[in-house]
Amino acid sequence: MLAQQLFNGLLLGATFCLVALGFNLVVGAMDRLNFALGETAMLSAVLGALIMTETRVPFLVSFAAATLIGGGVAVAVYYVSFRFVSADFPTASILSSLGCGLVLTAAVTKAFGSHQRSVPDVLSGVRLDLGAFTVSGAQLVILLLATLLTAGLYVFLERTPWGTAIRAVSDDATMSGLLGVPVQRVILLTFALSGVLAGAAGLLTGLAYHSISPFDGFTTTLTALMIIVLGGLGSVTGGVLAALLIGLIQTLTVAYLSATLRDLIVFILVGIVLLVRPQGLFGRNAGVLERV
Amino acid sequence: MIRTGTAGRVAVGLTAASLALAACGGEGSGSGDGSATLKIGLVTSSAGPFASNAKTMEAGAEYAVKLLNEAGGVKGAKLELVKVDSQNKPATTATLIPQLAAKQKVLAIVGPVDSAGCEVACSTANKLKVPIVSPGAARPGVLKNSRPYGFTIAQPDADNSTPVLTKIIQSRKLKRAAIISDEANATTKAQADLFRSVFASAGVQVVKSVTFKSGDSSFASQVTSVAGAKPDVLALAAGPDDAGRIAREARSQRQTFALLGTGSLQSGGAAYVAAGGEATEGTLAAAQYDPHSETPAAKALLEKAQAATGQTDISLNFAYAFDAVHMIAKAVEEKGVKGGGDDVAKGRVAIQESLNAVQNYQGMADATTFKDGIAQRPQLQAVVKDGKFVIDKSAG
Repeated sequence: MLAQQLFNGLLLGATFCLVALGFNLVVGAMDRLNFALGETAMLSAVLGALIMTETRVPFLVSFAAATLIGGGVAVAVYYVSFRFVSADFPTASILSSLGCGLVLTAAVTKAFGSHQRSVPDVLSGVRLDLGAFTVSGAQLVILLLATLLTAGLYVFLERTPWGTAIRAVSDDATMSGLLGVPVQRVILLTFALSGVLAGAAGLLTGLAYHSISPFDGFTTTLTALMIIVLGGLGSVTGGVLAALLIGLIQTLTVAYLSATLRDLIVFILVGIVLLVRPQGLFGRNAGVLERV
Repeated sequence: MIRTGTAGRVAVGLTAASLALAACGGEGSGSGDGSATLKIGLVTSSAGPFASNAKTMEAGAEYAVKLLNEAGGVKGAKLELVKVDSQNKPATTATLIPQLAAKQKVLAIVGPVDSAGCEVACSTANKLKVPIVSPGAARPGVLKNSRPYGFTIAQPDADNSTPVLTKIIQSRKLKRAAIISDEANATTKAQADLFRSVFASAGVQVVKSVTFKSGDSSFASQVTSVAGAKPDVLALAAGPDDAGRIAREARSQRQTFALLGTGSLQSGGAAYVAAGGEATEGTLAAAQYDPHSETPAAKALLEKAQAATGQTDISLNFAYAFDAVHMIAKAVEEKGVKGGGDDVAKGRVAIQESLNAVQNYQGMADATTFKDGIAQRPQLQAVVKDGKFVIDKSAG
């Protein structure tokens, strides 16, 4: 049973990972926190699930739609809460993006109701028995897509001119601008990418849990925040490892202790890390290459 | 200077507007004449594990008021539902009840639908001497601090569900059980205690107890733990939405153990099936309400409600709320209660006395008799079949 629980934890961590990476991209590029990213994930997931159930298209089509919706919503949030908000007042964009999140939640509950929306299963006939644990078809899809997206993001950031530009802006936006990097377009791309990751995370989480709640947004944001604090602001590797760690901790706490202790233990861990290593496990002190 | 002046003008404007509203009577339609509107409070909850039950309760109360008003009201006076949303917060509930009593001057209150909400609302209403009828609170001792003004149409799970659950255990020869509950929620905790008590007395070994938090999305970890203990049955001490998602996770992990619920699960049956889909098929539960009752009075009301709502199954909370409004209306009619002015306090006493004397009231939910404020209900067995809870009449 422990092996199965460890697998459940890794799966949970994989879904956390995507949205935390999206969060980290924005932190890297702008040194700002987009507090509407959780709601972006929720909205994308609700619409993705709706497309799947109403039009009966294959899962991959609705998944692609959810990522596009996520990208679009994140760009909209960028224009509303970041683009025209002065950099001299960093808290203004935080509050503004929090407000955007509230508006997104209210819009979804108004349009589709406050109930949890079911997400149809995929590859329901598939079940791999790997001895110590079993993997369902849906879990396989989640792992594959999450891994592909994480690896794809890594390759994009490391091996493409736009990825290099994102890393350059993340490192020093002023210097990048002076060297001819189109900073605003790079930031816009960063927001779009973070939205794509959030959209993917939203629908994959819905698939893992079989349902999506319109009130999941803020919880998702909070979890992503815990992950990037634990992993280190702006660190891709730190974000991935922290997401997997938190997924494991939450799962094992529920399995062996109590569901009511689940968040408490994570908060205590984050508190300890903040005291001992405020920059996070893989934070800024880990070096420029580690950062986005 | 300019700021002060503007603020001053705004303040004067707001004060004038408030005075004008007050002069017009504001909220009040209870001006003291005999044909004043008869106000009934309705405490709903848009959040929490029993939000879907509250929604059906609201629909039932609204339908009852609509029917009564279409028939000319009660002795010529129209009924009005004054709805408030507790959002599943005890502090909000404790504020809303005095508001309904003092500001809205309601004659009686219907709701909340759940036991945790009822404990707060009913004891507060009792202190204020306002009759309050819950169409769903079923935890043992739920009216402990709420008598003589508190009532519940749902019989407590312990009294109603125990014999039915025992019978299910014996007929299915269940030996090993697991229980899933939200230990932070008083209602689901009481359900878990009930299961433990039933299992203990029936000689069933509880091989695993797992917890969740109401509203959780993922139940993978809990179901994996339960599966490892290899139970014959999983007892669902959960609100209907959570229970549905637990069922879905269990079946997606290819677990074949039986799913068992108390009467509360059947009362939120539509939400349970909506959340769990096909995974809920075969779920067994105790029940105290038959949506397809053959009793003449209930049958006629159910068929009419089915036609009006377009639903083939009228849910328990809908029927109980419908009956609660009708019982209050009947008390108003019998005692000649008036809706406005100083008559409200006397009216509340009269309604309380009338409700305490209810014997064999024939309504949408069959016969109701109040015994110390608690309705005595039939003991039935339900099973999910073809996407809905049906009463298993073969179970006797």
